[in-house]
Amino acid sequence: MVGQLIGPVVPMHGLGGAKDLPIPAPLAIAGGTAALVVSFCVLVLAWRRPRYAGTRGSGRPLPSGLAALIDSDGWAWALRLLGLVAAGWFGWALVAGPDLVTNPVFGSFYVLLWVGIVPASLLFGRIFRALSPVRTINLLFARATGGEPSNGVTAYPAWLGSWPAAVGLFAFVWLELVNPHSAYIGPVRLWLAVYVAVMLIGSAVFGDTWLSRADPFEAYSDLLAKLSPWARREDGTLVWRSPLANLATTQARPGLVAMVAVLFGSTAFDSYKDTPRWVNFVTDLGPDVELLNTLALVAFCAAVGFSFTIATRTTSVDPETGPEHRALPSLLAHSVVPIIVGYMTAHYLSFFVEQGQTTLIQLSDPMVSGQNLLGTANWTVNYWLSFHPTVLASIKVLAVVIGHIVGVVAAHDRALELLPKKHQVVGQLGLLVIMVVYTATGLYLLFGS
Amino acid sequence: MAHAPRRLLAAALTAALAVALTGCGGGSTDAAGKKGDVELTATPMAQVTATPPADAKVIAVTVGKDSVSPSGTQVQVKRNQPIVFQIDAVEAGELHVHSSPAKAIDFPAGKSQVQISIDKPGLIEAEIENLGKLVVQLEVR
Repeated sequence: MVGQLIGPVVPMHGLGGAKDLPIPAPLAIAGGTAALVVSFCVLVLAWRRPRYAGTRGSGRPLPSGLAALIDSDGWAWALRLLGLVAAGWFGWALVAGPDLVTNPVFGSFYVLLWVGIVPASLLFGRIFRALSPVRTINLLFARATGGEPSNGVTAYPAWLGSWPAAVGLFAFVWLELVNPHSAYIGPVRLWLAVYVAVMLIGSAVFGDTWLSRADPFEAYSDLLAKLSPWARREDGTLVWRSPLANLATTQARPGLVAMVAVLFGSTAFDSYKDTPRWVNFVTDLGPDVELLNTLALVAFCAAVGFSFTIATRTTSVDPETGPEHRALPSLLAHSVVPIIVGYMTAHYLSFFVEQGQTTLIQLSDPMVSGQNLLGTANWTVNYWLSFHPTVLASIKVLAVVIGHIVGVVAAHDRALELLPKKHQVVGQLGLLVIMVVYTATGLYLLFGS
Repeated sequence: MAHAPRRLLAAALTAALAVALTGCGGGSTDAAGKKGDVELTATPMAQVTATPPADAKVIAVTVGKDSVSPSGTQVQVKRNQPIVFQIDAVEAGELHVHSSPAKAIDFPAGKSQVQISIDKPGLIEAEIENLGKLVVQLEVR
């Protein structure tokens, strides 16, 4: 099967055509300055007592009727069915569709799923687990064999934390950004087959905790859902909660920093890999573009992970009452999530809007044979965003700055909780500096690539 | 725990099925995979009669056996400005312009010329498809 992929023709492009123009320098500088000023205002002027500590019980319960509907079996099964139908449609195009760029498989996988998971989770909370076809299949297998979906052969080892999800996320971004055949159907089929196999066998062994910790899409969606207004109290009551209070309830598991590092590092690499400087460097060095890009992707993710670990561990904590030093990176990692969301919005907005529309049109014709099964085939793509580069650039910078502000506030609040009184300002400096560095790097890549 | 091995078996069988499906999935493999691209052909220089328009951006491209020139240069153009590629190639090939939709321009060996324009602002890569090498990045404003 691999044989058919390797021919004389090796195009180096993935999905999507034109890219955004770089953001204008004045906007980039204004954004960076705003981020810097806000950071110091938060540090010096903001509240002195943690506001979001112990918010697990907070939030306003939903109206009872709405809560009853969302908690009902019928609702859960409707969403599962929707997930299965969507997966079936996608699977049909994946297995039986032609290997053409216009096959909706590529847009569905790289745009609607991977990028769409961000707005969907911010709006609706833990959406992927509600729809997840592998979760539903695990549930059906458990029912059919008289077991519980949450019980496997053995318990999921807690020390593994979210590491499997971080590995899965890396596997995805590698396929998307490094594999030169990412827009051919063979590698997508192979990736998804391995994904389904690992998820199903893992959940049979460890129960469905495996899916929460190892399914890259579910773990990613759950993480983003902490920035949504939807939450559950520990007793299961469905509540609306301020996204900042919700974010503070992120579980500090092993591997959380790795997840965050892969998400942020890979998006930065995506900006960087198309700069003429990198493209020329890679082509000059010889044929093994794939290896070089793999190393660069690892380097970007590692740079984020190590810099964050070092910055958070320089923070001074009370040796008696404070947390252990090595626990600090995961206890603070949630604060990078808003920065990631801001940067992803900036990086993917026009791609999502325009390539997303293209995909919706293509989904009517999964066999690429001129059908119009969903009635979307006659739609035309609205390129308004591309035609208004100044508006687009302003939205991008705004997204980065808002993400930075939310992140800095979240980090400040957690620092107040963790740091001894006398170190509260100085102790936060390392973290604040690294956040400004991340935001400035993001702006620089949007400006310079 | 009699159910656990059965569930593991069901999971393993489904996993095997998924892997098998990817191996023998149907679908024609069109190596080029370019349906939806705008297909153009460069005109051999001997047959070119008119000179490029006065406001055109002329980009001279040299294609060797395994090299191109320019190689990754950024070129600024305006929306709808004529862009003329004057190609000098040792063998026939394809210049791929990653606009939306993409343009696939076949060129013959020797000297040839093709004119395009781009209607949307953005960064657009033009590469020699058969060599996998970037020629220019068009910055369309």
